[in-house]
Amino acid sequence: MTSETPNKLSLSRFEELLDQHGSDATGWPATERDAAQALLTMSAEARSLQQRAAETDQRLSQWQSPEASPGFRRRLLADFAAQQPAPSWLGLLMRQLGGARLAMPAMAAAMVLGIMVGNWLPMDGSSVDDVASDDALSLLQYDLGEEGEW
Amino acid sequence: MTTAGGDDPDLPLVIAIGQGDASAAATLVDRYARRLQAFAWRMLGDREEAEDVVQDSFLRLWKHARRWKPGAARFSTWLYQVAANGCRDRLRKRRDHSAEAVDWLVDDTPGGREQLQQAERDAVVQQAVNELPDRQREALLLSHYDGMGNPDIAAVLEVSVEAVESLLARARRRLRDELAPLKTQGKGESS
Repeated sequence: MTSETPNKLSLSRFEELLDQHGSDATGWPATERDAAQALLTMSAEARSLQQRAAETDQRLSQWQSPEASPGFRRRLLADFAAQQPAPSWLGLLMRQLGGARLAMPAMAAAMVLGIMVGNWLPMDGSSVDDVASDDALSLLQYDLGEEGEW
Repeated sequence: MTTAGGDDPDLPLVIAIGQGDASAAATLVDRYARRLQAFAWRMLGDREEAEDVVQDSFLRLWKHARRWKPGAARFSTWLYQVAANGCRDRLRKRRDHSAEAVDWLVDDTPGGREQLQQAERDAVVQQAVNELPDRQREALLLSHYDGMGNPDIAAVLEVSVEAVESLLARARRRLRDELAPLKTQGKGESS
């Protein structure tokens, strides 16, 4: 059951609310706002208390802080930049290739191509073309012959 | 702002910063640097020191963003906690800074009598705020200048909401008494 009229608020509770939340009643607990408003319309003393609190708030609001010094924002962001790790060659390459979204497929394709070429090339001497193998052998012998004297 | 981290509007930016996103870093700087600088300046009364506190706070963010774990606290709460701790450390190192309030009056900037009167009023407010105990001052600054609700202030100061209400009540009561003469002074000067 809710009451049609707001609960009564004592003057001391009203003063407490002023102290705890300031003169602007919009920041007061919703459950006591209506009662506070009712008290304000009825009590000259409540209005006087509210007026005093509002003057204090006004005095405080007039106390402006100075602007930040020139370059302050830049200094903060320079700190941010300094904290970032140096980019790796891979990162730089990816950036050159248009970011991860474009670079990753290109790199994947290059990897697949590399694997295919690797599979196609011979793994040991048995499948090497005989002529090529003989050429390589004679070249080795030639080198050894020349260098064998030292 | 609430204490839960789940609906943190800054979270995507913090994650992006952890991945090295410079534009996310710039966005977060634009969102918080000025507010933190004003908070730190009101705590310390020194622009250079305030900027150093903010710079240290952001430096911690740049270093730790990669390991940021959402859920524990909202990012803004964490950032204010770091800045508030930075201010406390500096205040501990130099307890006696009340004379700085008067420095403003020595600044002989052009603008005449009106500006000087405003500077005098500012100095009175600054001195009254500076004379509050640290915790009361922090709570008041977060409440009045940063517009934080009491639960958020409680998260930054790592105390209960009831404790925040008590801190704010004592701070405001004291300021009301301290700043009351300004009203009559202001009237006297303008007439």
